[in-house]
Amino acid sequence: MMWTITLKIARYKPGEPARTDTFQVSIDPERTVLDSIEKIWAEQDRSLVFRHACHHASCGSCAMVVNGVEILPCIKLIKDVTKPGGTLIIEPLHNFPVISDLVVDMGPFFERMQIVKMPIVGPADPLPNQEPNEYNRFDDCIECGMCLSACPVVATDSKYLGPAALAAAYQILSSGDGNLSAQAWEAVDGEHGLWRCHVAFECSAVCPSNVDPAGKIMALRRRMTVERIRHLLGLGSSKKKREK
Amino acid sequence: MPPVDSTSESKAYPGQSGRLPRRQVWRWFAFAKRSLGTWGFVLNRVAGLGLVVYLMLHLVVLSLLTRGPDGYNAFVALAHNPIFLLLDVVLIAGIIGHGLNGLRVALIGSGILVRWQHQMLIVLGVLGVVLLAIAAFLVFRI
Amino acid sequence: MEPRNQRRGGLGWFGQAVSGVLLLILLGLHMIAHHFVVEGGLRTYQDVLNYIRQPLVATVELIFLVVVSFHAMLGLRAVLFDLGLNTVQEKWVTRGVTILGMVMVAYGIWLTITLVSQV
Repeated sequence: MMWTITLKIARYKPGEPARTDTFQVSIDPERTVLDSIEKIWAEQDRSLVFRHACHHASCGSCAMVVNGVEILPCIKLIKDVTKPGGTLIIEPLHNFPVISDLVVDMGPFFERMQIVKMPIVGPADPLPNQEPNEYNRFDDCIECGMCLSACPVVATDSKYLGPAALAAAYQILSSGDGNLSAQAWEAVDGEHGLWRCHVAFECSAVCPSNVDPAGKIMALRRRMTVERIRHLLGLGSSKKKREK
Repeated sequence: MPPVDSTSESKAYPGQSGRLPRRQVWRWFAFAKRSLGTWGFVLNRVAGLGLVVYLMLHLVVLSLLTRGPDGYNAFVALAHNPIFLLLDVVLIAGIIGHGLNGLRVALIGSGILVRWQHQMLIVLGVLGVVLLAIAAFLVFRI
Repeated sequence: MEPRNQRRGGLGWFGQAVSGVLLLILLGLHMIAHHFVVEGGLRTYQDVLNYIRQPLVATVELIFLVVVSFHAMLGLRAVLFDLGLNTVQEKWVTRGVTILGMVMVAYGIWLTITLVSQV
């Protein structure tokens, strides 16, 4: 069984006005959205630019916005997002500079992760000069950027640290003896840090890897509030290890 | 095979000139395809801004009290107009929505019932509709 | 812990949450006392004067005005800060909402005194 569906794809090439191209493609509904885009690239328009690698939701590189919601097209089946004769509106991630068509510059994501010193690439085992408990990577996060794209606050405040980096900060603080640098603290606990979140939970709704950034932001908020109240009451830090 | 159709848009795509994407304020209000949490966020934002405007209007209207009984009582009579009563119900809807969802946001933000934020919205939504129905009944019974 | 003086982001959120919970009570009282238990839904001129002349009522109403102004201005500030303003703009927004809030409260106090002292 094949479905004929329409894909309206946002197109942009540097120096040219943005436009929307409409393609029709005949495809098995059990195949993925990424398959349909690859089919268009192979059969209809070789200038269509999109990024992909693993095809199984572990690299996070193909993330895009389909019918208004961030998805990983490599694991999203056609039958789950449309119907026979249906239309898919395909856009690059929001809140990132577009390089070409569906490919965005992931800089804003990695710059934020760098602020909290959460390395994107790290060895699985500790290096000789690392403490055994030191985190090398942000657990579960596949660095797809979908949380930043879905967040309504990031849409207007480019200074907001955003879901991924705040969740990473929470993980660092929750690790063995983790703490943040002064610069990271300023970013996490400042005006454009965790207090800027307005609890839309859209980051957690779209996260393909169960990181639950919003849940971690709330946990971080609770922790900061409890610490501040303890500080005001003169009880000191709730975690002795953080006084070092 | 060329594309079936190609339409040009006048607006530049975010990041077109290598800059950061422009502010997209409309996305504060784009809830249609989004999760319930975003519906709560949009509700709070719209109702909150509306209530700030109402608060200003309310304070200005109260200045009529300084003009003696005639000025103020004329306003009281006007406020019994059905259109005013309908606006009162809209106002009460805003207060109930912002108040109940605000309570949810305060709880979640304190790390309480975070996992139940979705369900909490549904329960408070039902409670809000019941409260609004009672309030609307009282407003129009007057 | 790192120095706290540079990190005050949480104060606004905390203030908003606390004032919000207070408002649930104060606004509830205000709505019931001014509208739902009043015949016709709105007090007439003379009724307002008689009502506001009770010291407890005037006090609760003024506390309500302070809390609602604080909550409204802090909320407005948060919405404006969401626009990703620069530091100078943020400073002006903070000044602007502070002044506006103070004007609202001052106006409320003036109005109360005017009404209470009216013959």
